[in-house]
Amino acid sequence: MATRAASEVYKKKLLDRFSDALIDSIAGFMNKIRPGWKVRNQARVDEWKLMFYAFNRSPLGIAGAILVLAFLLLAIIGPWVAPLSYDTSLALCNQQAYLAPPKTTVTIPGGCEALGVKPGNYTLYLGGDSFGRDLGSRMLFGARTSFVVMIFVLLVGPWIGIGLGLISGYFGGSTDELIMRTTDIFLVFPGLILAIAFSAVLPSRISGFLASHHYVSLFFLHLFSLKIQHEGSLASLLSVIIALWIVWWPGYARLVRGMVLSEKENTYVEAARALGIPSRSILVRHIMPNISGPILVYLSLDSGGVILTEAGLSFLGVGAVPPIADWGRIIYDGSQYFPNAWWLIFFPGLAIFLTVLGFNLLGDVLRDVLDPRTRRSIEFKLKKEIEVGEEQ
Amino acid sequence: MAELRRFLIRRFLTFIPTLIGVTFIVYLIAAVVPANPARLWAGGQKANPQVIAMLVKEYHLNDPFYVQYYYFMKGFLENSMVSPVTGYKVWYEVKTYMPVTIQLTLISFVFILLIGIPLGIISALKKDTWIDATIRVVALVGVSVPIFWLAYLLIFLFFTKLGWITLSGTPTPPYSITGIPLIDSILKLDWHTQWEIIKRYWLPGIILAYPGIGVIARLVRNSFLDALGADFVDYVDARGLPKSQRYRHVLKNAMVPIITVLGLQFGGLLAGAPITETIFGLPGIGRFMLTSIYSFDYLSLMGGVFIIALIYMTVNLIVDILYALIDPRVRY
Repeated sequence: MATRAASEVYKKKLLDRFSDALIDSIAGFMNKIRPGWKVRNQARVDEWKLMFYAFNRSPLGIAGAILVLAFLLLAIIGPWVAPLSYDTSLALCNQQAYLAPPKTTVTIPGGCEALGVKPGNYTLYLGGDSFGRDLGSRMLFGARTSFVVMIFVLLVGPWIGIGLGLISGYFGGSTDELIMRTTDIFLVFPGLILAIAFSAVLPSRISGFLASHHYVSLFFLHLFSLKIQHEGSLASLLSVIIALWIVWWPGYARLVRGMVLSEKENTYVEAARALGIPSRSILVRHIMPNISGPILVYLSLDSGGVILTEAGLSFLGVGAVPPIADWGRIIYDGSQYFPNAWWLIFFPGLAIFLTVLGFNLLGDVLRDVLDPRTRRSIEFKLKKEIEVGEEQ
Repeated sequence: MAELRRFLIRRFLTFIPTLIGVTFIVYLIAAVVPANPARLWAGGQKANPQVIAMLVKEYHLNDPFYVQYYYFMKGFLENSMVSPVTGYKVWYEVKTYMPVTIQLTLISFVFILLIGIPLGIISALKKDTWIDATIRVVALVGVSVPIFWLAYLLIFLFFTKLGWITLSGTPTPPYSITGIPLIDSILKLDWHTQWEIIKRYWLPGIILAYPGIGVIARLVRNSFLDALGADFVDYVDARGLPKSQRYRHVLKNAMVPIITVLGLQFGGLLAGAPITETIFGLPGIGRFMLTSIYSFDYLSLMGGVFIIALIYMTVNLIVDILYALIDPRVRY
C-alpha cells in the first residue's frame, strides 16, 4: 500500500482517466521543453491528479465546467456558425421578420443581395428583433462580446490588485500604508457606480486614441468579430473594459495583502530570505504559488461577476452601443416591446444567467478542491470506500 | 471604554483623508471628459460662440486641472455648483432624487435582514438535508441571476398576470419631517401612505435585495456553524444552561462577521439601484445619474457619484462603530 503513489489508490472513473491523460500530456510537454521537469515535479503532478479526482466526484463542479465550456465554445465558434450576421436586417426585405416570434420561417425573395442575404428560407429559431435581425445569430455574436470583455478585464484588473497586494503585504511600512489607503478610497465607491461613470465618459477619449492607432482598432475588431464599418462602436466596448479595470483591482489588493501578511511569517520565507534570495523572487516564486489557490477561486467567481456587470452596463445604455450584439444591450433594446416580444428578453437573460451560474458553480467547487483541508476530507472519504471495497 | 473612545477618534480621523481621496476620483470623471463639453452644453453644432465662451469661463474648462479641481470642489462644498444643462443647482437636484433611492435601499435592506438571516440559520440548523440544499441553490441563483432579467420575469408574473403591484407614480405625503416619505409616514402613523409605498416598492425592493439575500444566507450559515462548533458552546452546555442561552451565545458570536458583510451589501444595493430604478421607473439617484449621462451633464453625474460615495462611507463608519461595540477585540 505505502509504496503506491497517492494517485493510484483510487478506483478510477472514466473522467479520472481523462484528467490523468490531460495532466500526463502537460507533464510530458513540460519535460520536453525543460528536461528533468517531470522528476523534479512528480509530487506536484500527483497533487494535480488528486485535485481532479476530487473535482470529478462533484456533480455541481462538472455541471459548472460543462456550462462554462459550452458557452466558451459558442463564444469562439459562434460568429462563424451564426446563420446570419449580427447586423443583417431581414425586415428590409420581408416585413414578416419584424419582431418575428421564435421558429418563424421568413422567405427572402431575390434582390436583397445588397444586404448580404441570399434568397431562400430562413428560420429564426429564437425569433427576430425590431430590425428583423435574427436573435439567435445575435446571441452567438453576443457570447463573443461577453467573453472577450471578460477575458480582457481579468487579464489586467485583478493583476494590478495582486501586484499591489504583494508589495503592500511584503514590504509593509509606509508603502503598505499608501497602497492600502488608496485601495480604501476606491472601495468607498460601490463598484457599478464608478463603472457607470467611467464607461460613460471614456468613449470619446478612446475613439481619439483608436483613430490614431489603427492597428489596435483592427486587432479588437477581429477579436469582437465586428465589421470594419462598425469601427466607431468599438470605443464603447473598450471603455467598458477600462472602466472595469478601475473597479476590479481594489478587492484583490486587499485580499492578497491579507494572505501575504500571514504567509510571510512562515519559515520557508525566512529560509529563502536567509539564503539571500531577492525579494522579487521570494514574492513571485515562493509566496505566489502558495496563495494562488484562493486567487484562482476568486478569478473564477469574478469571471461570472464581470459578465454580469458588463451586461448590466450595456443594459443601462452605457456599455455596448448598436449595432454591436451584446446580451445586455439586446435586453435593453427589447425591453420596449415587453411583454409582447418576450423572447428578446428571455433568451439573452437566460444565456447570461447560465454562463454566470457556470462560473459560480465552478468557483465554489474549486474552493473546496484547492483548499487542502477540505480536499483531504474528500480524499479520506474516497480512500475509506476503497479500503472497504478491498476487504470485501 | 477609554480604548473605545480612542478607536472612535482614530476612525473619525481616517474619514478625512478618505474624503479628500474621494474628491480626487470624482474629479477624475470630469478630467476624462473630452476637452470641451461646452459646445455640447450650449446646444451642439449650431451653438452660439459667445455662449460657449461664457460656459468655458464659468466652468473653468480651459484652466489647468488643479484650478479646475479647486473650483469644482468649492462649487460642491458651497452649494453653488449649477448644472449647465438643467440650470438647477446640483445638490438641489440630488436632494429631490435622493429620497426614492433611500427608500428603495432601506426596503431592500429590510428584506435582506428578514429573509437572508433566517434562511441562513435554518440552513445551518438543518445542515445536509434537502432544506439546506434548496436554500443553497436559492443563494447560488441569487448571485448568478442578472437582476434586470429577473425583474422582467417577475413584472410579467406580478403585474401583467396577477396585478399585485403598482408600476407608476411615487406616493408623496403632504407632510414632510425627514423628507423621506417612508420614514415620515411611519412617524405620522399614516398607514394609508405606508401601504401605497409598500405596494409600489416591494417588488423592486426584493429584486434589488436578492443577490444580497443569497450572500447573507450563505455567510450566516457558515458563521453559525463555526460558532456552533466553538469550545464555548460545550462550556455553556456543561453548565447546564437551557438551549435558549446556548443560541444567544452562538448568535452573538456569529454576528461579528455578518455585520461587516451587511455593510458591504449596502454598497451592493446602492450599486444595483440604477438598474432597478430604470426598470421600475423610480426617479432615484441612479436614474438621475443616467439621465445626466444621456444629456452630457457631467457635473450632475459627479454630484450623483459623490453623494453615493458619501452615503456608503457613512454606512461603513456606522458598521465599524457597531463592530467595535459588539466585539471588544477590534478596539485594540
